[in-house]
Amino acid sequence: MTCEEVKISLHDFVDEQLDDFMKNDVESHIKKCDGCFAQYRKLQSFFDILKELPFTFDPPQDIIDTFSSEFLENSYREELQETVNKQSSKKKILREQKKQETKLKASRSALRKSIASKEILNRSLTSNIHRPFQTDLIKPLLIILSVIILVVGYYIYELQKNNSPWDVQLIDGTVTINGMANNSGKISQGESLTTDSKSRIFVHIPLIGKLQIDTNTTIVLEKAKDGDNRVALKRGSFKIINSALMPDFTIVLNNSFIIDRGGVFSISADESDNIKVIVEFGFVEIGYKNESYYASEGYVCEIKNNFGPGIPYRLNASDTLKSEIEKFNYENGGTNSIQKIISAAHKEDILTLLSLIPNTEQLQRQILFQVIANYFPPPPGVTRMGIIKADAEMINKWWEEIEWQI
Amino acid sequence: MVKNENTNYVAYLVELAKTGRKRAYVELVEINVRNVFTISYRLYSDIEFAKKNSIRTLLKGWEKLKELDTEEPFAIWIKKLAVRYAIDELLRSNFSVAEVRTQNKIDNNNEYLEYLINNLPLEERIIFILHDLEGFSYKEVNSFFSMLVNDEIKSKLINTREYLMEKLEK
Repeated sequence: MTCEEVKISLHDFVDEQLDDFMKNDVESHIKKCDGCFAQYRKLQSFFDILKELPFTFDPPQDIIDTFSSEFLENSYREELQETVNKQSSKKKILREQKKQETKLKASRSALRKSIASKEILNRSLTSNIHRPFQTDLIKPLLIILSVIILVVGYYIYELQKNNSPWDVQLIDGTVTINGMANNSGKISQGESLTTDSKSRIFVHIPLIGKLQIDTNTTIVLEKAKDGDNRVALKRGSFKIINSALMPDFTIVLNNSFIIDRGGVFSISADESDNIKVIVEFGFVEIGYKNESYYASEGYVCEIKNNFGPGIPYRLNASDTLKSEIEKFNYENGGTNSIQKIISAAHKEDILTLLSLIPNTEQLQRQILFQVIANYFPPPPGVTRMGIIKADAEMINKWWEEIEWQI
Repeated sequence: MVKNENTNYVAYLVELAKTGRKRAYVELVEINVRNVFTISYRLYSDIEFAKKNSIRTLLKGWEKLKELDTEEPFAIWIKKLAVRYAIDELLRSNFSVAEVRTQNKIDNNNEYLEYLINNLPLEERIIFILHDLEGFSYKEVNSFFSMLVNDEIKSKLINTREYLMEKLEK
């Protein structure tokens, strides 16, 4: 290799663009030739200087805030556009429906006319001929056959959705299924599973994720079917780790149930059937007496026996806030507790304040509205009066708007 | 560019954001904002323009998220998006970097190098930043410049390096 050839290949050499053969040639030339070695060193020191340039730059402090507000504004605009589109498409549909109906009416009257003339013609031609008996039977028989096919099809479809048994992965200790030691690695619908003081196990839920069952826990697999998976927690605790975005999984508790809305969360039940839900990621829906309650990421919700779901609070909320919520939930803390909760709450505790609204008097709602609005202005469709009246739809809308921002 | 795979958490956030969860997207933004701002700042060399480009990229990212291939890491995808918007604007407006420092006030090698880079012709400057500072491959740099062939990019880059080395030597 000549010096001229090396000079041409030197940049490719430092960029590691040469094949092994060329690379070896350049290397051996550089070792022997002082001039080319000096060129190589020059290029190397240039790259050393480049390495000293800052690798990253700190973005301006307000960049996330600016982004969030523009993102929020765009979302409103999209929602508004969607509403307008929905309205205009609704109008369009109505217009089209009317056109269609007019056409149908016209064709029907034409049909009636043609049927009528045919009947007149037929009557005059076949007035004395009786219809054969069989033609009257074919129609009902066909209907019955279609119904049977539909019912059988539906039954087969439903049968295919059964996903029992589920896999049980034993890491440590022992596990009993229906009260007997069981190493089959499976749990079927209707069976109960109990862990001992040393057990560490995973139960895999098909298409959804897995349950990490803690020690001294009993669960019952109530339903194992794609689209409807249900586990009853009798005692102890477990953690749900979802791999599905929209899981179909419900945890049945003594007097409430929890619907998995995606994410990671744990549930524990003590001996008095008091439940604690801790949401690590995503959110869960808690069902109690035909009402739905939501617990968001980083929040804890307690469901004490005979009380129903309490006000959710942040896992990292201050002790004062937690103790006042306890008083409000279970010790008739009332107005006094609400005032203390409001003063102890930070921006991150806003969902706690929002959850208080349906459980307070109108006067407190006005204060809560103002406090929340100071941090997160109400989105379109949420009004002061609506919140004071504890309109569930508005509270939910505001919750959705705040939830993603925290 | 060095292959940088999504972590499980980022992959999870991307999937959630693709289903319309804004909060998941905001988390992705928080994770990647520094990355996007850095490339923007390098290209514009101006905080306000870089901020504007970063926000525009991150907002557009939400609209275009459905186009993100599952194989491509989010961090690289969003960075490429930032480069595309920046290059588009820079070339369209023949943007010149507002250099506040004069050569007399530069007192170290880094500052002098930055001064030299900022004063390169626009195409040369972008090619040099993308390849030598940000680690994009020739092929990737080429994908941002549809009007240039691979060899032109390579030759512009080599000339730029030679020019900078010569200036730094003096």
